[in-house]
Amino acid sequence: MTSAWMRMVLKHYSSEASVSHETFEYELGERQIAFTINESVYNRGAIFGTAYLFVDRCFLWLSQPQQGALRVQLKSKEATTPDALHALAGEFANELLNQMVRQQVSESTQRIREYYMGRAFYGDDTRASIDALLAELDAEELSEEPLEISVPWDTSDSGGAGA
Amino acid sequence: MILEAPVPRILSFDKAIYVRAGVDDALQSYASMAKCSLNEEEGQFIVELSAYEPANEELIADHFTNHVLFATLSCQGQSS
Repeated sequence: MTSAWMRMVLKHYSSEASVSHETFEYELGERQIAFTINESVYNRGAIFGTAYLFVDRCFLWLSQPQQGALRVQLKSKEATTPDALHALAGEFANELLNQMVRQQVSESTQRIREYYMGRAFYGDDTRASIDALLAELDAEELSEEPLEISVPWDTSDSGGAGA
Repeated sequence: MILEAPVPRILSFDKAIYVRAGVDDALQSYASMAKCSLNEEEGQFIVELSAYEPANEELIADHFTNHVLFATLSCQGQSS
């Protein structure tokens, strides 16, 4: 199958004159595109998180050609064009970066999130504010009825009830 | 006349990526559409799949593969 594939290499320019570096190499098939991801750059969690987002749009097949590398094969669910496949691979690569950033933000804010959650559930201030709210509700219930609608079970009006 | 049995489609899932529970989940889900068998060898789950309707075999195999991935991600909490 691989031999029928066309090997494509995207090259990035370098600031040093006319020296190019291969940055994103992929193989293009009729309805599919495959590329290998370096796991020292993108971790497994980011790759899986990205794959999950693409499950509804294409068929995915992951394999590990060698240690530290993960190969992703995206197969379009419908007839498509090479341009659309290129765009799909580009979206995948961008989403990988997005997932990495999300992970880093999640890790860097983990302690503060845990602190907030701890405060919310176990802090004394929260208990006090809940008690204050309950006391306020009780006070409202005990206050006089502003519309002064008499009800038969109200003891204060019982003098007229029996008469 | 001797009818040649259809050659089953072989799908291999790398154990370093996919989990057994994901493969089992897909096998259970697709049992009504294809005859499936599972083997394990050299770090791979090997699934032999013969669709009851051969015309749909490729499509079933693609969906099967996605199902294994999705179930694997679910097991690992990646889909939450």
